[in-house]
Amino acid sequence: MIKKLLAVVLALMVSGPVMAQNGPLRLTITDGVIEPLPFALPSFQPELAGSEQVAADISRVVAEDLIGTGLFRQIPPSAFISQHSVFGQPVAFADWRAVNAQALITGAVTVSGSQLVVKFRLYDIFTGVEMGDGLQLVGSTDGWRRMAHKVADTIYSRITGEGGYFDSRVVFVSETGPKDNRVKRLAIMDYDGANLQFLTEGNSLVLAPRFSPLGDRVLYTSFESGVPRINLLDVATVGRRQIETQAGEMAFSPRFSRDGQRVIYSLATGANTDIWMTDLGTNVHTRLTNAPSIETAPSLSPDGSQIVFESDRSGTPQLYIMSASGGEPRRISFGEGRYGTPVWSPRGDLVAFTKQNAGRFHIGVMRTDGSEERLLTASFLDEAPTWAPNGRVIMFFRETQGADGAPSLYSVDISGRNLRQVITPTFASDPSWGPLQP
Amino acid sequence: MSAGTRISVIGHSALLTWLLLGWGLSNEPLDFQITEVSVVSGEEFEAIVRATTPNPATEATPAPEAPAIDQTPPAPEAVEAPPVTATPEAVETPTAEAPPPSPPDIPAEPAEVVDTAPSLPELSSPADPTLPTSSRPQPRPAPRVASTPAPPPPPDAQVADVPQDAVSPDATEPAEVVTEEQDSAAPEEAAPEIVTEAEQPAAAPTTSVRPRTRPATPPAQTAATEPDEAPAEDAPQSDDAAVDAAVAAALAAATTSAAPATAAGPPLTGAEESAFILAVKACWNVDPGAEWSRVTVVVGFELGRDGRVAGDVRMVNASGGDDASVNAAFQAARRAVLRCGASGFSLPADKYDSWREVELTFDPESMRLR
Amino acid sequence: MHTLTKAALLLLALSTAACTRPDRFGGAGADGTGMGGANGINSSSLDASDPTSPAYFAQTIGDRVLFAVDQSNLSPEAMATLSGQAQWMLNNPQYLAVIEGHADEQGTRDYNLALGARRANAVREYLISQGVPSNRLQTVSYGKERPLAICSDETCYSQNRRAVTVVSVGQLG
Repeated sequence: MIKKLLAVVLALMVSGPVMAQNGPLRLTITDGVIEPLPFALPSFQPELAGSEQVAADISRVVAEDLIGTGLFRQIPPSAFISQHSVFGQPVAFADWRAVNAQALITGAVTVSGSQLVVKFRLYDIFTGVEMGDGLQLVGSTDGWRRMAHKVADTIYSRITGEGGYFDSRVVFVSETGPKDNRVKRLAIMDYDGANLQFLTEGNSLVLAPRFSPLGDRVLYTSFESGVPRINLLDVATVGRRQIETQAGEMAFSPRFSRDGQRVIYSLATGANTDIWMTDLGTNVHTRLTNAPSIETAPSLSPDGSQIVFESDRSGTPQLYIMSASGGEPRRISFGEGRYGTPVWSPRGDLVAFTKQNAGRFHIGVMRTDGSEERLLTASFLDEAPTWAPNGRVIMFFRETQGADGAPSLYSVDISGRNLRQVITPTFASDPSWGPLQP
Repeated sequence: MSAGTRISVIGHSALLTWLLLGWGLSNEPLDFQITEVSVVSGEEFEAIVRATTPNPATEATPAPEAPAIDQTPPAPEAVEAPPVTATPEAVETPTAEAPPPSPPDIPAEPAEVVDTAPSLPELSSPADPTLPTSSRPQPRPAPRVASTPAPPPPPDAQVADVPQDAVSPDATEPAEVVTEEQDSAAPEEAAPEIVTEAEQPAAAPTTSVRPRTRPATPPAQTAATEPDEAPAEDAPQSDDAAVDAAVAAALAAATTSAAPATAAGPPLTGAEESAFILAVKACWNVDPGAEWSRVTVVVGFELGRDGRVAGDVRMVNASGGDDASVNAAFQAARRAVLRCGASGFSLPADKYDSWREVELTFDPESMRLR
Repeated sequence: MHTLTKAALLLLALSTAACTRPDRFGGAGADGTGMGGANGINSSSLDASDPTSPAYFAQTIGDRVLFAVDQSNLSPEAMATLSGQAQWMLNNPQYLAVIEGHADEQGTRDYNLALGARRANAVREYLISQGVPSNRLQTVSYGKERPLAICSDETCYSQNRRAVTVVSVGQLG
């Protein structure tokens, strides 16, 4: 009897847990934290005498790129427990976990003559595995910044699952002189403000440059003929040509189509401003809107099928979307205030815009149906958003108030975090962010 | 000068000095304390109660604070290491959502011994009805966004990844656990939501009603009212009793499957589940601007009896993005489990069978929109 | 006339001319050299007391009209000024005019360029309605690029929301 009972007990002890358990514990987490991911970056190893400076510079730029996103923070090397002194050596994950690193970036740099070789590896500290394969980049020493940006882009991409934007350039208007007599010149620079070059002299007023999809050409508005007209400039040769305009017409607000073959812009004739498209190959001009109101600031969707633009047909400037071939537009902005300079995001799901309300200017984003409007900035004058090539960051210009007021460039994450100034040697406005370089 | 005057002068200066030093030094921790206390949600309070209430069934159940108690003072090499973020692993318990530091009634550093007693009554006093109620303060932007706002760290605290209590031994702690070397580390300043520049208030409110402090010790009887403690009675029993119990259990199992078998773990209570979720979410770092913030992933893993992840975290399911986004979402979820579970999740040991296998759904939708 | 008075007049004329010199705006306008460039001072056109001079046009008749926020319609005062401008254009048929439209800094660059075009066109239409041949009138918009007053409040903004008629001898571009 006792034995039987014991058998029952034993059977119960085995089957008990199974009976009580209905599969795994299932829970849902809808709430987390938003904080920069800590990474460790031991300075890249110089693998040949004479590589020390470049190795240090590249390490610094890679770190600055990552930190600049606001998504990462660097663990100070002084906190390191172990030094990763030989590239490719086994990683002491516990040592990096102990300093709370979540990613480890190691690299090595070799300079021989004018050739520069950069190698790097990326490790996920908490899972104890390498993220992706090690990568080696070969280039010339004077392109060391671009190589650093490429390393940072790859790291960014592997961690976030999205394309990077560090190896890109920005064309903008450099401004000098007093407010009532500004000298404006086209200038081009790396996304972080390095390697600045001027593209025009300051002898005529230039406005709102726009990069071509490949970054090889720039459209801009120039007053060199006396009235605003659109110029097309080749970045490499600085050669330029004008988009044909009739006497008495003013053309401005140009943007490229996705294929770079067409230009959409505003054309003012008499009191009326409408949106036109010109085919750069055939020089055929097509009128896309025909309303007595002001239609300006057109921007094509990434697939080229639609145009978002600004119109005051309702009485105040608002945003509208229409087919790329014209036709009846539908209004998408319905908040308080005035909306302008819409720019379609590279991802296609958002429109960035300038909003003016209650004496303040904002840069904001909304979905293309006008929902989920979100203001990212606020100041006396914020204007002219432009998207980073991965659609993650917006650059714009901010002008300060008063007689000494002047513009500078800023960038902000599309979440509204990480607002920061892009340092330029002169005042700067009208940025246009180019593509990720090949 | 008469003796009386002398005594008076000395006495007054001593009093003044004490007041100056006493108030000046105790103010900062006090401020810190106030903000901390003001953000306790019901959920968290439950967790705290659960964590600090002795479990009569299984005294082995580690409370969230337990690792800190067990922890020996930092080893000598830790002292030599730069003190910036190098913290002993044991301290990496997810204490972010755990009880805030109790009032520093015993000072951290012998050199800075300060009697903070004068400030305590103020802490526990109810809101002053004469204070004007301020409009709901808007959070100011912070580099970190968490559901629980953390105040800016006091000037002398280092920003640590895992908040550490300022050393505050209380009665339950063995005296030798005093860890003088350990700097008080505050969690990095956090806002409860993303604050864009456009949403910043023009000026911070100058006055607001002071929140009531939390009771210093949680009510001791809470556990008794919890139904899940009932089956914990089968402690030492005689063989006969065991047989009787087994027969009874077999009968019960045969007639109604409702009554749990002796060895079967009952399901976790809501509070226990909440505490587990709190522990994981403290390490779930969401990037609301990323494509993967549109991806919901389900990850599965097994836990050992010590609450540590056994094996790896695997993806069970995902919806809402391309491969790269899904992978990024999965990696973030995986990091959350591995980081916050590094020293073992605090789960009731007697219910091991209910949490041996876990599937967690990480849904960032609400993070993306705020 | 005393030398001092002459000098004062000359100064006044110079300063007025400086305000309306088209090439001050970075090579703007038509062949604005009729007004005298940086160095070539044309004595006849500097004499503001000469009713046929551009200086007289700018100073006595008034070369600019102002607009309300976001508006391009003409106020009665603006119409009175423009009627004087039209009369002067008819009396001095050798002159051509470039009408510059401007906006204040409250608004985007693109919109303000279009708004400036509207304002310049409103003036042009009015001058044509007063009998000035349309082929003597050209418009240009500067949007918010060339403020006259540089403070950031309404006292300056109201001066910047303007259309300026710049007259010159020569060809329109």
